This record gives sequence, structure tokens and C-alpha cells, in this order.
Amino acid sequence: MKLLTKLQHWLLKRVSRKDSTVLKSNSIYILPTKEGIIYAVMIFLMLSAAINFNNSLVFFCTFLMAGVGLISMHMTQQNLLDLQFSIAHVKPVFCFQNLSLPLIISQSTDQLANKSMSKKKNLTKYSIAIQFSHQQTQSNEVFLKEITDVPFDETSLLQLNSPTTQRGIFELPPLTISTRYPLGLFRAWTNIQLNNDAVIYPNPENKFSHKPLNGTNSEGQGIKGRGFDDFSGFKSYQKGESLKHIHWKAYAREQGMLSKTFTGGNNHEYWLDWNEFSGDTENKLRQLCRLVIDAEEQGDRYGLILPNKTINISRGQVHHHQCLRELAMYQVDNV
Amino acid sequence: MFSFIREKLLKNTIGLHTLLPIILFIILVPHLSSVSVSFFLYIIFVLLWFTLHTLGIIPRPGKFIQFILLLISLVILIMNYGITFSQQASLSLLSMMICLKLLEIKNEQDRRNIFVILFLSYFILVIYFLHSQDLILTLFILINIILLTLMLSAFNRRPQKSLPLLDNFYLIGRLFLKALPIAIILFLFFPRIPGPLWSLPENGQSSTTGLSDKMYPGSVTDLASSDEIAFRVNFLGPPPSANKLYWRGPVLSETDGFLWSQKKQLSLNSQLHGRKFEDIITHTSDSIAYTITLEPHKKKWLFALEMPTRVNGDTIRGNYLSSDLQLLNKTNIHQLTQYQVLSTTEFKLHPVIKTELQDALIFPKTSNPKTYQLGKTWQNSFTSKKEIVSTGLNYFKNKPFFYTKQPNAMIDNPSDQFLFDEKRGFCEHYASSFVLLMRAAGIPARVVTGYQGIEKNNVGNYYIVRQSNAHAWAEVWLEEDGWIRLDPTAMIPPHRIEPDIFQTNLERLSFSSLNLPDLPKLSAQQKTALYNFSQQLKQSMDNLKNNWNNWILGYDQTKQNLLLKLMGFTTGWETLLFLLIGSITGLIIIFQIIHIYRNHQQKDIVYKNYSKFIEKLNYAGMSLQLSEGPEAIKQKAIKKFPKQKLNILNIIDNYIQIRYASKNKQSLILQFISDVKKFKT
Repeated sequence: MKLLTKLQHWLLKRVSRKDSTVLKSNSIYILPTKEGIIYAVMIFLMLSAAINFNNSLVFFCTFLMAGVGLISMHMTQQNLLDLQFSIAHVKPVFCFQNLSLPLIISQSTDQLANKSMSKKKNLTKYSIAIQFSHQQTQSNEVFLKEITDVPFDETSLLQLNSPTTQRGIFELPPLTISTRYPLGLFRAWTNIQLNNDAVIYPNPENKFSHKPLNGTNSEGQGIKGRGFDDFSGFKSYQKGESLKHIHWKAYAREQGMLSKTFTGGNNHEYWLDWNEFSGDTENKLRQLCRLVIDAEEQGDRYGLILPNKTINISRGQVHHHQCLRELAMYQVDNV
Repeated sequence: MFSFIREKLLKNTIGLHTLLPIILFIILVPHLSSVSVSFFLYIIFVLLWFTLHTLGIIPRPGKFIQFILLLISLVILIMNYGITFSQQASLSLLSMMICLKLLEIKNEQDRRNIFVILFLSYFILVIYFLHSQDLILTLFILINIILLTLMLSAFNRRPQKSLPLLDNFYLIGRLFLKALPIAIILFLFFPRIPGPLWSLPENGQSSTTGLSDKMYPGSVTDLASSDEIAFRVNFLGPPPSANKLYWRGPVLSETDGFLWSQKKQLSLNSQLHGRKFEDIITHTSDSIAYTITLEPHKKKWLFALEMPTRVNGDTIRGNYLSSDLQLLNKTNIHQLTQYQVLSTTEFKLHPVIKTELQDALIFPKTSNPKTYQLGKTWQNSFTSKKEIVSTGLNYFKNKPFFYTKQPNAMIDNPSDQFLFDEKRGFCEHYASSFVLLMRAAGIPARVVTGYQGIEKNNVGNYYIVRQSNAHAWAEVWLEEDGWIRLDPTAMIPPHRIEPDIFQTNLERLSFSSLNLPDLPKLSAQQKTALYNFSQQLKQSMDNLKNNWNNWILGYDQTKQNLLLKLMGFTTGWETLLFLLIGSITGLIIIFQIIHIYRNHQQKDIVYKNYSKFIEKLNYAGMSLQLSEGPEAIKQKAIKKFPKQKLNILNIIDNYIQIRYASKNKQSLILQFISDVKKFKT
């Protein structure tokens, strides 16, 4: 077994990172399983019985079963062939949250190939096991081993769950794809490493531990101003207002051009400045992260000032994620 | 009951491991049919328990109960087989182990236990072949091997569906179709090594019908009703005439007046003491060459026409002629055995051992006094021994002796009973009484058992000797003639041969089993035709079996060498190795070609034309990929070749129609193909 782990380590070094991997025969490895070795011993026993009793039928059965073993080896390898793996867009998470990576598995046969063929022939790849290659190094194993079937003309989606420990770009550890189908006598496997767009945001500081903000507000507080979130009523349309806000139904009823009004958010507006925080880089990032989250929750308008980058004051989901992303990626190369 | 099963099916609780005991039961059927009741009940009990457990009715037995079950199984085994080792016992042990292992299965994911069970089941199936190599059994075993492999693949399916067998059936079919040529190549060219690697354990329990080395009144009669085949014969030339068809079996010269038995078997060669084989048998006729395919009878003797002069067999090793000219094998015959013999039918046999003649004169003192008296009177009234012999034979001819297959039981002084009271008997009665009479009259005599006659199979042009051909006759020694064969049964004139009630019954039975509704209405002619037809059917079946025996079961080193010679190769290890590697490589190449051809075909006609169209565009200076969407290709192509806009639009729109519309129209496809053909940039 130790030898196998060594082999696996050596093989892992040869894996290159790709956006999408198609399994080809030159990268699929195959070895007999424990059961396969027992099967071989059984065939050897049968053969010696056949020789000893000089029994033709025992000979034939032995050879038939040897042939079955041999062909099953081929089939096990075939079962992995032409499988295509890639990772779909990953929703970013905060550090120490579990990252869920959608792994897309399909068969890389030409999409244009006749579909009626697939009905005649059973081209489903059965029982494909997917697991992280360094299973033992994963401290809290959220994702152990997934086994799935991959039908010929469908795409299978598998959620890989992985704990995160570091902000920045998530580096997906190599995956081992293996199968023992059909007879379990052989295990074919290959290692793949996939690129993904997962970003791990810094772990936000606990809610109440950061200093209350002061000073940077540029507009008065507490005034409920016009916003865009919550519907509050109608008013007559004025030129320049968003077309989205026109009450078209009323217009259709010939009640004149009415415009919907919204409240929401507030008029708080401030800069979150890197230089105003103390502590080491990570600490600062964590505090900034917390503030960005809080600001978005309260509907404030905020901007972010980092030593190397400034993001203008704005709000909304896009802005929010841009800020968090900048925090995540801050000096990520040096980390 | 049915509603319960349906409910279980709906709930998907009938899983794979519910099928396991069922398949195990099927596999064990041939063995279970030959075991004691206790063993049978035990196996059924365990299988039933597991089945009920998988249905969720009762829990799995705990460690303690499993241990008790193990103890019970050991008790049953020792009760039935003792502590001796035999094939039957090992088969029983194996099946009990499998059944107990079944109870250890925790769930469907319990790979280890399930694999052990399936592998041991393969083993049981193969062991059956050591017992019998019947055609039907072979089919049964092959089907079971496929079933087991199907189970194996089903258990390897993850995630497990309720019954994935159907999905896997196609795959297993392909697996076996591909494995079959490999198996055939290995079967033909794998070097066959003669000789057992270890000696075989003798089978104690099971017995087969056939001649035994003991004879008593009624023992041969028991065989007379058996239709079983003793052996098949292939004569190189024409078969000898009927009166010479005596197949020599055990020679019995020791008796206590009731039981006849063999003397200790000594090999002829060890008793020659300087003499040549020709001194023992002087033959005056040409030799007859023939091949015998002997059904296993678990005894040592090989049958041969009287008298065998040379033997040549491949599956029998260490055969020898005994001092009383029996052909014997060193070990018991456990499987179909083929051997060639040269025999001479006109011969003069001289005694081999000095004590031979004295032994052939011993009359058991206290038994059969009347027989002894009769013999003594003959000795006193005739001077010539030849006269005594002919008197003895004529005694059966002239007195009202009847030949019957249903003689009464004779236990006390059977010869006296037969000769003076019953006067109805089968061949062993005649032979033993005659030999006793001769011995009393001072002529060395012994009983020979074996078979007499042959039955031709018209389909396959070979001959069958059945158990019902079993016979016993006498051999007497005369100074000038040596040992000569005398068959007192043959002295009975035909009108004193009693019709064989059993045989006619049997025939009537086989007629009724044809299940024809208005059999009585058939005319005699039709009945004969029907009978002939059924005979022909029987012969064809036996011919099939004979070919099976000759070419499958009897495929050995000789036949392998013959095959090599026919193929124009020299015989030997190197050739076989070359052929093995060569044919397997060839097979792989053929598989690959089929694979490529299939892939090629897989791309259908629409796809082919579409790629042709794109090739045309690429040839005209574009760089398009098939993987690009048709809409994208359309845009790019129109941009590049605005003049051809209409054609391009036609082709691509038709293509999209064909591909993505729910209904495919043949005309649309044809239009598309012709458009592609016409298309020029």
C-alpha cells in the first residue's frame, strides 16, 4: 500500500492545471484491486485443477473467466475515457466557510453525433468516483467521495465541498477520478487539476469588535431620502426619471404618466480607508471586510481606499462584491 | 403475499442482496440433489433466513447464533462424511461456508463478503465439472457463470439503483462476447500437460451403475434394466461378427458358492518370467483396431474386446494387462476416458501364473452339494474333458432352462437352487453354475464378466454399449486349447427366452410420454414409423453427445497435436506459444478495427454532410470549428461570402431544423444533403 501512495504522489506531480480536462488513454492508470488479485489466484487454482484432472471443461471455464477478467480491465479503462471535467462559476465565500464547487462532468463525444445511436447503445459511464487526491491531509473532511453515473448526452453536476483556510484565489487541490466498474477487479484512475474562479473573501471581523466609524460622513444622517429599494407610492412622471419606474399599467389605463417612487438605503456616504485601521495586513483586511458587509447591509454608500487601489463611492451588489474581491486579492501574490 | 412483494418492490427494498440467496440456491441445485436431508434443510434454512432478512422481516443473526450455526454445520458435515476428505464432502463444506458467509453481509456495500461469496460460487460451479461433464450441466454452469458475473457487476454499481441488473445486462453480454474468442484461443493452444500434479482423493460415497468386482445371483440382472451407456466404440474397420463381441471385464475366480470375486490383480509383465507376450496369446486372426470412449465408472478396469493385445491411451496413464488378461488402469476412472486398443478375436490363451489352474479348480466345500454331485458324476462317466464340457453345455440346452430378466432370488446354495429347482435365471446364474459344475468335474474354470454386443448409431456411425449389455460368461481351460470362452446362456434356444416384460413396459412408457392424444387410433404402420422416428431422435442426441465427448471433453495433447498438424505447424511448446501470442494479438487488432469502424459509423449522414459543408468553407479560406454553433457559423459565412447568402442560409437553417426540431423530415434531410453537394463558394 505504501508503494501505491508513493506512486500516487509521483503521479500527482505530473498533473498540470487546466480549465477543462478530457480524460485520454495516456493519462489513465490502471491496477488490479485486492479483489482482482484474489480473482487471479482463483483462476490460477482453477487452472491447476484443470491440469491435474485433465478436465477440458474446467480448462474452458478457466480460460473464459480469464478472458472476462482481461476484457473487464479494458472496460474499466474505457469507463473513464473521454470524460470531460470542468468547474462552473463558483460563488465566492468568506474564509473558513465551506466552498461549494460545481464540478461539471460530461462525455466529450461530439455533440453532433447521432443521438439515435446513444439510445441503441448504452453509453452511460457508470460509477465514476471523484475525490480529492490528498484525502488524508484534509483535516475536516466535508467531501469524502462522490460516486456518480455520467449518461451519454447529459451533463452531470457534482458539488465539491471544500473547507477554506486562506483568502484570495482558491486553489482547488488535485482530484482523483477513479472507477472500478464493471467487475471491481481493476481500478482505473487519473488525477486532474482544474482551474476555477473561486475567490475567498477575508474572514470578516466579529460584528462588534471594530471601532465605531466617525467623521467621514459627507451628508446629513437620518434623513429618509429617496432610494431605489422599497416601493412607497406614485408621483407624476418628470422628464429624466428612469423609464423603469413608470407605472405602465396606469399609463395603459390612460391615467397619465405616473412614476413609482421608492425609499430605501439612506444617504450615508463614506470612505473606508485602509490607513485608518491598525494592526497587521490581515487584521486590517478583516476589519475592512466587516465594514463593507455592514455598510452594504445598512444600504450606505461607501468607497474603499487601499494602498494600491481606490474604489469610488457607490453601492449595490456589484460594488459590494468588487470591494470584497479587492480585499481578498490584496497582495495575494505575497501571501 | 403478492401484495406484500409488490409493496416491497415499490419501496425499493428488494435489493441486490435479495437476489443473492436465490442465485446461490440455483447454483447449489445440482449438489443439493445428491446430499442428505439434514444438509439440504440446513442450507435451505440459512438461505431462507437471509432472504427474509433482506426483505426486512427478521433481523440478521447475531454473532452468537452465527457461531451456533457454524457448529451445527460442522456436526452435519461430520455426520454425513466423517472426517475423510472427498470431492462430495469438500463441495458440501464449500457450500456451507458460502451460506454462513451470507449471514455476515451487513449491507449492499459490504464488498468483501459479497466478493468472497461470488468467488466461492464460481469455484463450486467449476468443481461440478469434476463430477460430471454432461452437455446440459455445462450449459447450466455457463449460464450461472454469466449470472454471477452479472451480479458482480451489479454490486459494483454505485450509486446503487434498486435493480441495476437490466442496465448491466448489455454490458455483460458484450463482456462475454469479447471474452469468448480469448477463451477459445486459450483452449485450443494452451499447452496441455499430461499427468496429474497430485493424486486424486478417491470418492467414497457416490456410486455409479456398472459392473462390480463382485458377482452374486442377481447382480448383473440389476444392470439389465439400465439404459445407461457404458462406453462408445469407434471401429477402424468393420466391427467383428456378433458372436465375437465379448467385452472383457473383471475375471472372477474366487467363490464361496454364493459370491464371486476377483483374485489379487497382478500385472502380466511381472508374471511373464522370461516368456514373451506372444507365448501367452497366440493369435491366428488379424487385429481389430478401435477406440473406446469410456464413461466414468469409478473402477479401475478398461473394457476391451477379447483378447486385447495392445493399448494406447492418452487420458489413461499407467494402464496394464493383468495376469488374467484384464485391461486395467492404475487409478479409478473418474472421468470420460478415451483409449485405443488392438484386439484379436481368434486366439489361444495360455495360463500365466502357475497357481492359476489350481485356483480355478477350487470348489467351496460346504456349498451347493447337488451341483458338486452332478459334476463328480460327469467326471466319472466321461474320460475326455471335451466331452464333459459339451455335456455341461448341453445340460442347459436339453433340460427346460429358461432365460429371464426377472429371476427369483436365490440365496442359499444358489447353484443347487438354480439347477434343480428354479431353472429360470439370468446370465450370471448360468455362468456361475456352469463354472461350478466344471470345477466339480475337475476342469479349471472361471467366470468372466463384461459386456456383450453393440448397438449401432446410424447418425454418427459408431457403436454404443449400454449397461443392459452387461453379461457374464465362463472360461474353461483345456489342455490342448488353453483358456476358451464358453457362454452357457447362448445354449438356451430362443423359445425359452422369456419376453422382456420390463423392456416392453419401458417402450410403452416412452410412447405415452410422447403425449400423443390418440395413440391407440394409430395403425401398426404408423406406430412403427413413430417408433423409428423416436429411435432416430435418440440416436441423433447420442451422436451429439458423442461428438461432444470426442472434441470437447476429449480435447487433449493428442488432439492438440493433431490440430497443429492439420494447420501445418510443427508440434511443440514453441509453436503453441507462437500461436497463443499471435492469435491474441490478432484478436486485439480485430477488436480495434471493429471499434474504429463503429466510431466511424457513429457519425451519421447529416453530421457527415454538415462537416463537409464546413470543410468547403474552410477550404475557401475560413477557419471554422465544428464546435462553433451553427448560428455563429452562419453569421461568419455570410459575412465572408455575401453572394452565397441564400445558399448558406438554406443549408444552416435546414440543419438546425433537422437537428433541433422535434420531428425529422426525410425530405428536409435529402434537401440538406443536395444543398451541401451543390454548394460552391
